[in-house]
Amino acid sequence: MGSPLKPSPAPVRKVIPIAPVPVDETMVSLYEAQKKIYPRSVSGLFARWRWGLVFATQLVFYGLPWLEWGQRQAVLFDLGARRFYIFGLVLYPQDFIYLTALLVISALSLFLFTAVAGRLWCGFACPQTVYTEIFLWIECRIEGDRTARMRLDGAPMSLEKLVKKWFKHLVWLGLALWTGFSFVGYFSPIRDLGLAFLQTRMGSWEVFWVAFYGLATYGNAGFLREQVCKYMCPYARFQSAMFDRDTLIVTYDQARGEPRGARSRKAALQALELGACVDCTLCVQVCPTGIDIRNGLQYECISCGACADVCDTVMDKMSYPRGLIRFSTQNGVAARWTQSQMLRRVLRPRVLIYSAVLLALCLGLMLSLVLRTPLKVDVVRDRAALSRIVEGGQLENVYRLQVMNATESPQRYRIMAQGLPGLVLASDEFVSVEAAQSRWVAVRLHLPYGAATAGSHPIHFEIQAVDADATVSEKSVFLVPR
Amino acid sequence: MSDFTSNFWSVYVAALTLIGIFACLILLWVTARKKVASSADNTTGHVWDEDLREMNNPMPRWWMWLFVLTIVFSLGYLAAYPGLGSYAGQLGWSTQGEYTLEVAKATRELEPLYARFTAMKPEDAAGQPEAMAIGERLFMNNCAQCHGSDARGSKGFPNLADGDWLHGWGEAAIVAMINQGKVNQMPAQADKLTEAQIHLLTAYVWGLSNKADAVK
Repeated sequence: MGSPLKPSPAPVRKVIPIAPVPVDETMVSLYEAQKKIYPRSVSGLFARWRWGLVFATQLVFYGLPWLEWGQRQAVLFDLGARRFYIFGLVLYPQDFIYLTALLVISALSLFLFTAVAGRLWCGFACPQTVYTEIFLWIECRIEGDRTARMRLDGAPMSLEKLVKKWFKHLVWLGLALWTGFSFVGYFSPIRDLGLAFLQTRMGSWEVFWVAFYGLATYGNAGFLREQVCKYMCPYARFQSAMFDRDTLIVTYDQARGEPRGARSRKAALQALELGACVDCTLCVQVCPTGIDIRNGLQYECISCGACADVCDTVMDKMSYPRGLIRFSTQNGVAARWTQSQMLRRVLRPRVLIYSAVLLALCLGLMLSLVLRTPLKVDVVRDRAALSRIVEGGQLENVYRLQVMNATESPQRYRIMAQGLPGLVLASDEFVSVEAAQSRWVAVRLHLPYGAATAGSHPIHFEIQAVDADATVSEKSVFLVPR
Repeated sequence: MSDFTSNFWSVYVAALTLIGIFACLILLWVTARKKVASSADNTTGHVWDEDLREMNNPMPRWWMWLFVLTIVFSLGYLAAYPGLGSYAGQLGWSTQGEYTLEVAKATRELEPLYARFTAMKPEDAAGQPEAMAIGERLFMNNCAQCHGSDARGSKGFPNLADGDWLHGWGEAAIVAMINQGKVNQMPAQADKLTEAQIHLLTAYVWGLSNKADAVK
């Protein structure tokens, strides 16, 4: 103790100066004027996949509220009554854990898909992409493809331009409001909502949410489009952080493509001293985020594969092999791997771990849903009196039981109390609860005076459905006064 | 802010709020005019740790207008609603006023529901499941604190379910007890509950001691 510390030699620090690199500089504003993007329409394998997913997701979204299940809407989230119906399931707010599980599963699926195939979600399934795709299709039908749209926007106002623009916005708004209507239809029975709309007696909140969701769709898919992905979306940024060199991305095969340049279709490739890229810029014209994929992987790329589709058509015309722009991995492109070599790298630790956790969670959720008891009970001790003495020298404790019937038929339940010798139920043994309703009942328990020592004794209630197979056990205590 | 004897803190808070908003506006104005150097390869020209270069990714200009919009909104909000110190706002909105409105609205909506049962005698209303459900909820909110959720009371708080009538029998006695209470024993409820609510409570309490006729 107390010995002086030897002065340690000063650490050798390498000072790396922050040096401005002298290059030709221009002065720019901190904010940039947005350039409007006119994506060219495209067809091909990935476009077909994208449209397939547009139909799959939107059939579910627009169609699900119209499905009936018995006497009610199959999927209905009744916020007012706090009941959530999903086909045969009747969920209470107490079942919130299932939503948590669903969200965790969604997040893990995103991790898994991102690790394997990059921003698949962004390019194919994200509502932002899907609605942009639909709105672009409408725009293309009314105003024409890329060049026609650019010409129309550049032209002075004319009757034709006015009619086209108005028509487009009307169709957009109609679709957007229908989207808002479908959304509200998940929370307020959609058939009644439609009837209320026709009779102009929709509630003010219903009108608000239809308009809000509708106008948000209109603004996002009609105007903001790629800017949502570029400036607002947090997923876009953290998905990029989950990439590694074996993640599938849209790649430009630089070694094969460069040096790029225009050439005659008849010229033989070997004689030209040019790569396979004919520099037609179609890959830039189709890009919904307006980037040039030939500059390599960029954070704006949503992996939609439009450039890969259009490049393949060009390669076909030039009779070059396809795949100058293709889904591949960084390692795959660098080492010129075959597809099976890349596939083998899919089974790497992070993918296996994500898959194992995801599978375990999915199984857990399914098991817990299958084994779920359609009955819930909450026990609350009465707050007025801890314990009291009643006729016959009995000690009485009062409880309030909330009995929640999670089935769609009226049920009768039998209440039993156990845990202390001599404990008997003094109130009604049977309680009836309407379908999908809950009910508070006051329950009195009696214990002969002197049957137990003074203090708190653990007991439990057992509630059993009379005509169904459902039993719930809930803990509580019986208090004996001193 | 009525706890304070002077309006210093009110002025202080209002001034801070307005200075904050004004400072945001100045910041926006300065950044909107500022120009920064950008290299031809779209980097800021700065290099860290030998090869890390910073890309120049400016915000879209419409984003700036969103900021302007928030400032316009905040000024409009502060003019209309309470927010600037103790200034009450042009609309005169308050949480208390909102509560009063909501209660009045609920009362208006419940009146036709109650009307069905107020015409009935308590012993008839006690035979209606809906009336008893309303009565039970009223009892839970207003009476159960003392009389217990099963209405069987405890020491000093009479049992209402045992058929013993300590202070007179029948509808009139129940209504009078709820309305006027009992000095030093039970608070009067006449000002807290509406006539219809007291009628339904009476039916519920009547039903407690006459279970054979009442719905459970």
